Amino acid sequence: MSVDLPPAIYEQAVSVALPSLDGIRGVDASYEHALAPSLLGLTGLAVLASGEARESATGDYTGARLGVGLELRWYWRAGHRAWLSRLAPNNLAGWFVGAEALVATDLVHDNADHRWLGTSLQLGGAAHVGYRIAPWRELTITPSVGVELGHDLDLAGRVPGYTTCYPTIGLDVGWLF
Amino acid sequence: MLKLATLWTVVLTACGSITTRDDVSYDDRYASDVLDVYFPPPASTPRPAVLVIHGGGWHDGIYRDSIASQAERLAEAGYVAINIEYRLVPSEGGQYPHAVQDCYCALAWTRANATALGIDPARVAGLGYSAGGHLVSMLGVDTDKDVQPDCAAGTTTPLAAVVSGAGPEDMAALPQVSSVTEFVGGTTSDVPALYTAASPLSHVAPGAPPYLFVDGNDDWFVNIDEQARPMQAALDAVGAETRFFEIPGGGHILNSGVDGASWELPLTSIETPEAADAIVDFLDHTIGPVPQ
Repeated sequence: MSVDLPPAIYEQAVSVALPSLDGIRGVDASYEHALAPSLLGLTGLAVLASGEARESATGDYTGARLGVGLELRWYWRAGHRAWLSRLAPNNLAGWFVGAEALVATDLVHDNADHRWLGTSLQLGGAAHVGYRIAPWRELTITPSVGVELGHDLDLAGRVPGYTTCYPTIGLDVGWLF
Repeated sequence: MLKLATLWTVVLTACGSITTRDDVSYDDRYASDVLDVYFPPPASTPRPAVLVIHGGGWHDGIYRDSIASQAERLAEAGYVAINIEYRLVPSEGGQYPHAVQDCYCALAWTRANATALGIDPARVAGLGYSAGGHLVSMLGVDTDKDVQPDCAAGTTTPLAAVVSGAGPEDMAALPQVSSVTEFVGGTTSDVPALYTAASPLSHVAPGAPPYLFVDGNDDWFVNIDEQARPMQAALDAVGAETRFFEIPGGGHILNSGVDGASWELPLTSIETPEAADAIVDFLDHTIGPVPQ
């Protein structure tokens, strides 16, 4: 005798950003958790925390980069079934917009002269729009585009601050649970 | 020459410490041959200077405003930055060696006006990206008469230091795209001698200045194994001081900015947060220090 189980609603996800794997020298991974609708009066809200660690320079230098981010995401059509997905409605899938705050730090070492060149701090914010699909089991694929505003600060004060603002392209692969 | 009354446009930047003179002609024969000067605050001793040369495939459509933020940043670091325009292909006649001659003319103009600019003419470095990286690299090693300009400022000697961001060093190893063939004047089989003449790699000789290469190792257009690495090896072989700042996963105009989770487009290797420390440190150790 079969029993109709209610469709699964996943409230958590982990993802890896494929751009961070470019060069095979680091990774940016994230953890996402759905927020209760009662929290801000909206369905489809989620908070996403990310961490980045990568080698940022090689050759005659060694560079290391560490960063963290915190993003508020809204799957504004969460009540609908997402295209190309086998998930029930009200999952972390489909169209979303996100606003993210970012902090990262860089350390650079001159290997020829055996000295540290300094440490810089990057502060940034980003806005994303993307679409998450779940084509197989709980696997997710999430392309996105956005705009990122960043500002670099040299903690030693020698290198002037520098502000960048560019369009971004993102592509994450992850798993819902 | 500087026509102070008409050519000076003083613009205070947000921090109020940098002033600029825009659209200064360094060769009256060509309307395109103008430059912008970015001045740090006045100092009691002459400052070192950096000639800044933009990229864009030597082709019209991308101009010096694309690298102005780097010139401003160098001025904020204490260097007088001279952001130059040069003749481009196909509309401005920038075919080799004209673009190189223009850059040499801008360098000659800079040194001829050293007193007015408040700089030390012996301490002028160059920084460029992509085609600009190629041109600064040519100004580091090519002393042949065919690239020395015949502009009013006359001839000059190579740069005192070179920062080449994704700069082609061996023109024959580049993809045969239209901007390359238009710049050199034909394909590698049409004009092989011109490809050799237009390549910094073929001009390396003892006495070459210090070089810093800033390249992404995922650059599809300027492949580091075919360009910067052989150039560094050639410079090392003649005793020049070199540094290679390699960005893992970095592309020609696709890099990670503040957030490693995404690609920023267009973001060049010299604009990445990690490269700034190396560039300023290299300049400080080659043409610096900067007066306070």
